[in-house]
Amino acid sequence: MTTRLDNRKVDELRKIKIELGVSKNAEGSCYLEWGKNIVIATVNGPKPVFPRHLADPQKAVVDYKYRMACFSVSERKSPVPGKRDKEISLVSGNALESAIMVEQFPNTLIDVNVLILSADAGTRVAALTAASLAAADAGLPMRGMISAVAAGRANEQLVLDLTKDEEDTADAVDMACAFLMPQKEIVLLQMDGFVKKEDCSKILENALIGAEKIYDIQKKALLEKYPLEGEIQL
Amino acid sequence: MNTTKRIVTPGELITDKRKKLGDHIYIRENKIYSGVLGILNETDDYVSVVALNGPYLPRIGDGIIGVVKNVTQVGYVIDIKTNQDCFFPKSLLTKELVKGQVLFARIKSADDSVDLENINILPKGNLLSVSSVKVPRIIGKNESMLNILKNNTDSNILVGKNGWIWYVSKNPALLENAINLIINNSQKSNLTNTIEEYLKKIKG
Amino acid sequence: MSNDTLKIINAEKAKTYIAQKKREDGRDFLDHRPIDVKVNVINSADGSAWVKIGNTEIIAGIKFGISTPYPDSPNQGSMVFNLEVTNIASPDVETGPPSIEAMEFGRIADRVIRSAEFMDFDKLCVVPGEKVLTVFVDCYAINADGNLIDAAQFAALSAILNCKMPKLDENNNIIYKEYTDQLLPVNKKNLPLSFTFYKVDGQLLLDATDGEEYAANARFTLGICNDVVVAYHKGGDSGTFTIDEINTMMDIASSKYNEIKKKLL
Repeated sequence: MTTRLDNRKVDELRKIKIELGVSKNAEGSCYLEWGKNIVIATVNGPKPVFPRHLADPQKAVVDYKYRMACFSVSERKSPVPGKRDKEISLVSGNALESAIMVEQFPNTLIDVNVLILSADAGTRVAALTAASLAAADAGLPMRGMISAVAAGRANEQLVLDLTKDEEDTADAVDMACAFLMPQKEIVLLQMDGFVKKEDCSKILENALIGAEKIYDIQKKALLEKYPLEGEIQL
Repeated sequence: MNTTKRIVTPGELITDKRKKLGDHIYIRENKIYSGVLGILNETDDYVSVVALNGPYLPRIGDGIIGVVKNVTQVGYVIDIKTNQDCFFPKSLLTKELVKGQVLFARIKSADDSVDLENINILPKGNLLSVSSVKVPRIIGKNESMLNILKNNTDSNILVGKNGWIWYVSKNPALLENAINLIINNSQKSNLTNTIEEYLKKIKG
Repeated sequence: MSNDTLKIINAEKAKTYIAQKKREDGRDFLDHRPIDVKVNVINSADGSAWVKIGNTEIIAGIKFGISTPYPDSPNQGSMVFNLEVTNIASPDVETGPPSIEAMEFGRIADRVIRSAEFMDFDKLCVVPGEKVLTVFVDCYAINADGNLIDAAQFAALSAILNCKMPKLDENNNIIYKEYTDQLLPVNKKNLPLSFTFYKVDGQLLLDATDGEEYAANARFTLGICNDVVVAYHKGGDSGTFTIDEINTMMDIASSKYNEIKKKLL
């Protein structure tokens, strides 16, 4: 087994750092570093829906906006959201919605914003992981957490959490995957590659293993914000 | 008998025993799970979770504080910290209200729209916004925490169930600091004593 | 609760304090809140800075691009400045193109930097008449509690001062993520700083908070560069200033220049 370009093991995640409640004005927020990715997510709501006709009398509507800062990628990106941003926003919003008990808030809006400040592959899964933390931070009723990770193949190895360099290799396969945890139900699944069925199943299994690691990291971050012992802190 | 206090995350398994269900709990395949990030409250036959944050859900009879957001020809648009504002007709009041006016009222009904009754205009004071889930902590059992705040900071305080706090105080900065301490440490035990000690230390 | 109501409440609070000749956080009318600057925080950007002034936080990131020069300046590069007050900073911000307020703030911060003849556009020429470097400065507000104009200008300035020049290949295209040892060419003697004043019930304030801004009816921004004034911009609502007040603000900004410069460098 050859080592990866950044010396990680095949099933090793990049370093993740989380800070909750970073936004003073938002009801829930999460700052997340994942390898060289930096994202900030905020969640507000339930709020009224404008225009009114977009409201759903059965449940809250989740409006998920995935945006990349102009300087987040190699070549400066236009500030106007493109098709990729809109597609990611749509599938991610659907994924997050499965975690939130939206039936409790008919005719309202859950406003989710994620800004990618620095990108190095896996931005959509980092964004969704952060957004789920922000929703929990906001105290929204949720049936679970959304834990997202990318799995795939690079340099003839099946690996977890690909970097940009790994995504650019000749035989790369990149699968973005998000699970509702602890139920282990798939809420987001997108793949680019050229891969045999058996390897594909293996990659999906690897993704679940990765998602479980992410779920542990998320739980730890939420618990750390509320220590039961110790001095009172301002 | 209370089990040890712990924080639970959304979707976390609490127990597979049968118990009476309180707030923020859901059942899946005969097991009981937490439906929010909060403090677990579990006894031998009852389970609920106290959320650590979250939107205000108006209930009939709630005493709340509102702010006049807008004045129209026929009435007032009042912000009560829910996802929709309240409308109150001018015809039901003897006094005129102005934009920014702070008032105390009760929730009369909370179906598709929220209606208020018993509107009382509050005199000029300060307004502080907290999450509605923290209000019980700020009031305390039998108003114990609220009295400690009033007495040790020389303040007149009114707490709305919706998370607005109106006050007039000789020590506004001290009061707001104390309230922030309660909010940021609401999950800790013995908080009432800790806050009382903190205030006495600063005063003395 | 909508942000509007919070603004009404905070404005009332600010006015009450100012009537007593005080500010809510205990500052003097002309003092800044604590300023914190971190540079090179965004590894995908060619230069970056994260500035906090009190609770206001703005991130500036720089990216280079190769473009054809403007016809009236065939041997000069250019700077493009953009400020976004995102929904992350201010939950009531509508999605879509920046508000007119954000556009105005961005243009003021841009003017302060551009007028100071601070950036050496001649040194950004790659092939005279054909290829020049464009410096894209993009600022994002992460937390909004007043004084976004000055915070954006400080963030942009800090990012510019710590930005390395990109390596170019044999066809004069940028080799991404490879840099020379040279910094973005600037005239360090002409370091421009922005000072935005708000007027609340006749009282001039520097480094206003969100509530103080909402209570104000007039705003004035000065760009100062040592003892030189490089920009004026009157904004805010329909309130007015007297000539005396303009002169007073120029004196105040000049006297604060060195103090703020030290905090940024």
